[in-house]
Order: sequence, then structure tokens, then C-alpha cells
Amino acid sequence: MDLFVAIFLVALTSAIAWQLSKRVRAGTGSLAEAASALLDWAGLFSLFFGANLALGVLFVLVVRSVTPFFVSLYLLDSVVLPILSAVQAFLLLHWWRGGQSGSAH
Amino acid sequence: MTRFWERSIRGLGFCTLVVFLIASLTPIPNIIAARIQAAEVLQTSDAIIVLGAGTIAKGMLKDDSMRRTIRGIELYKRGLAPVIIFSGDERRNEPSEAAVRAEMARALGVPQEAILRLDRTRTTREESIQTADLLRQRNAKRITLITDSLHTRRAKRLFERVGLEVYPVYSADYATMTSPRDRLWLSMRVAQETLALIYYRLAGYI
Repeated sequence: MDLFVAIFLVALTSAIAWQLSKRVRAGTGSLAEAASALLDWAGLFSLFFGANLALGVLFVLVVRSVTPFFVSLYLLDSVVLPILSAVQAFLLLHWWRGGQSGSAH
Repeated sequence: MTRFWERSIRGLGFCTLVVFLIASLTPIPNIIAARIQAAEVLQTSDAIIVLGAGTIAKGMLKDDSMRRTIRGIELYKRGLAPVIIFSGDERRNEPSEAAVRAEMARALGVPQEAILRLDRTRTTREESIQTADLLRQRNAKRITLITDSLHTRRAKRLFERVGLEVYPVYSADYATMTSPRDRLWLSMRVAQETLALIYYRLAGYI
């Protein structure tokens, strides 16, 4: 049930945003380009999230083996890590794209 | 960015979205979770072991810790075992998780002499070793092991490794969760537990 509610809400707000964008002539790009950007962001997010996790595991294991301190691997079980990874991916993607559009002009 | 990298990242993004949809909308995480967990065995034993799951702050138990504690007390009251052992490490300047759980058990009518505590256990492996030491003094061998369903396989193997006969009981059966949000969470827990199983095996713990 919560799935259908979520889909309904997203479809409704998307339709409203689309209508408003048309009215103020904000949407000048194509939907295909927007979908590609979403895939690029999701790919970069996976890369960053995987790298952050791997580095975190390595850090915990090194601390455990070379110091007397105990650090739990559950330290990485945090909602902050995926959010920060998403931000990393977003910023890097826009940095790259900005560079590309800058060189094209 | 070269064309190769652009395509690779886009492909990875497509795979990420597909995995996200599978993880949240299909029963695949439930099927994997059901395979990971050990079967429940509900029968009398020498002791009930309630594994730790952590506190939030100032003696507040995490949800998992609370569920395990209540299941342990319930099984004690049903007469499954003569003693109940609460495990759980302590935070700085705060009571240990085991102490908070023991206090709750006393408040709910479990006699003081039936409650034992393991206050310095940081991992499941430490819990298994310290439990075995404690039970050896009491000449006890059969245990009812309470933890969440996904944790049962790893925990059962660890406790068997220290010579105990283990009857796992779930505090929560996560494989039965069906909403998209719960399935997404379950997928992450399945991945976490699978990695933990691999790590424990590589380290020679199980």
C-alpha cells in the first residue's frame, strides 16, 4: 500500500512540476538527457559508497590490529555514509559537466 | 572524462537502479534472508543467552536489544531454562547493556539468582567465549540462543565452536518483512551479515 501511495505522490508532484516548468519555460533540455544524468549520478554514488565502505573497513581493521583500541565495524552502519556519498557523487558530476560545457564554448 | 569511463559509470548507475528496484520491490531479499538464518529450535536447555545489540544513550536499549531482552524473559517465564544470561558492553560512564537488561528482567519478575551478566562483550565471538567460560563453571552445555534471525547462523556456529549445544530462537524474523522500505533495509542487513560470515570464516572464527 505504501508503495502505491509513494508512486501516486511522486507522479502527482512530477506532473505539477512539468506543467509549471512549461508555463515559466524552465525546462529546455530533453528528458533523455535528464535520465542519463540520473544514471551517471547513481553510478558515481555506487562508486563512492563502495569506496567509502571499503576504506572504512580497512581503517577499522588496521586500528584493531596495530593499536590496543577496539573499533566496531558497526561504526560504518550509519545513514550518514550513503548521504555523504550521494553528495560527493552530485558535486563531482556537476564539476565534470561544468568542465565539459566550459570547454565546449 | 573519456567515453569509456562515461559509459562505465552510466552502466553502473543502471545496475544500481535495477538492484535498488529488486531489493525494495521483489521477495528476493526475503528468500536470501531465509537461507542465511539457522532454523529455530524451541526446547528446554540449561541456560538462555540473550546476545547484545547495543544501547543508544544513558541506558536506553536499541530496538533490537529490547526485542531480544523481552524474548529472553518470555522464554524464561515459560520455563525453557533455569537461568538467563544477558550480554552487552558498557559505554563510558553509563551502565552496561547487560546491566540495563538485567534490571528490566528483575522488574518483570525474573528472580535475581536466575540472572547472570556478561558486561564486557564487544563482539559475538567474545560473547561465545565468555558464555562458554561461565557455563563451564555450572557444568551446563545446552543453550537457548536468542538473537535476530539474520544473526543466528553466525552466532550458532561460534557457540558450537566453543563446545556448546545450541538451540537458536529468533527475537525477530526479518525474512518475513514485506513493505518496500523494510525490504530495502533487509537487503542491507543481508549484505552486512553475508560479509560478516565471510570475514568470520576467513579469520578462522567459524
